[in-house]
Amino acid sequence: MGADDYRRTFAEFLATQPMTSDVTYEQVATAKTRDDLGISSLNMILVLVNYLKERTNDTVALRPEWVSRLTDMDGIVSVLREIDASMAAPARA
Amino acid sequence: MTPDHDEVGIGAFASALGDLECKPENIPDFEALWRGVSPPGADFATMGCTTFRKMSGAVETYVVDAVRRSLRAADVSPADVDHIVLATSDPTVALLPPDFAVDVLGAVGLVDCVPHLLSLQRCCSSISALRHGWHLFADPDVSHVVVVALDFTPDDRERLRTYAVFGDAATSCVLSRRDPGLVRLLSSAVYVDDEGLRGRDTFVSRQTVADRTLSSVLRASGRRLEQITKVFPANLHQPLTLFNATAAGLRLETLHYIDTLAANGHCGNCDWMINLSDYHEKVGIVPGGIYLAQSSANGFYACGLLEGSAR
Repeated sequence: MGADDYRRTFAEFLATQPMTSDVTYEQVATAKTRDDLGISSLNMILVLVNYLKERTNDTVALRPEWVSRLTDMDGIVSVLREIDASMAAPARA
Repeated sequence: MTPDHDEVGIGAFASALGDLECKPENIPDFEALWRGVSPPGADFATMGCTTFRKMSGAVETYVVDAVRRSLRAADVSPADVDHIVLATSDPTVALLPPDFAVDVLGAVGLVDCVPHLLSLQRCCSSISALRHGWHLFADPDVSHVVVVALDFTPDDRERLRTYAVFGDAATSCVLSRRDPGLVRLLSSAVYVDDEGLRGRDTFVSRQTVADRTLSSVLRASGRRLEQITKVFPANLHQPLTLFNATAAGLRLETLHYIDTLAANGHCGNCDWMINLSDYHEKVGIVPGGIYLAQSSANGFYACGLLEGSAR
């Protein structure tokens, strides 16, 4: 999936969350930062925690290197891609 | 640290929590207050705080109780205490009565003891107080120093915040020369996040100040992050506590705070001492184990790296 597809994934996930259910795909598609969507830092943390839980059943843990990328939309989308990629990667012996 | 400082042990931790156990949901206008400080629709139940403790009496009563219990546990006479270092957050300073220090000294019987107050570093003040208390041993005549943390919120409507639910407590510990105590201080540091001080902190600014502080205590002590057995953090909302720890590179399994957060909420400067005491009671601080007392607040990050004393 490309970055635009992940913006849709992110928008679809936000729609399932009570804190962000009003955010539309059109808003996500054009936003540059999460501030543009009215997503506060606590809100972003809750969204991310819920994403990890629902998409990976908490088998993927938050990584320190993701933290600095949770402000602008490109960074957020790249984190979601890495979470899903971590989930999809085959387990190593 | 001088060789003399290696002889200084820290122990006899005591907590005087607010005597009333209250539920956040019973705070008048709870729903409206929570909506006002949280993201829309955020579930309060996921924040990890079930009850908080409230002081029904004057704060001096709880401070005196904690200090008396610490001195009894350390088997130190009040007359032999050289200094008492009190730490509290900025808003609480304004709530202390004018004769607060004199009242505490008199009630405990600290007749030859110099009082100090450390504040202006929000909930990081108590780690600076521990650091200050430790440095007082540079004077060879100093034998015993008591460090006290206290924080309380008189108006229940002020307890609910974006980052925590505030509870009331006073905690104390005793630093003694030539007594191993429970732990010794390997290193400590507090740093400022200027953007945080101005209310403009970001994930990056918070992570930067955490990295800087942790790097400082590890470098000064010659220890590595992986050697830390347990972390005694500030009891912020659970998702925030976990996120902040991850951002700082701390392993989540090393955090000890869940039960005390659930029972007491965030008792400001007292949290690290409450968490350390709870861990020692349930698991036990072991000689040679490496422990991190940690606190964070808007604009500050503080760490004290501790080592379990050989006893």
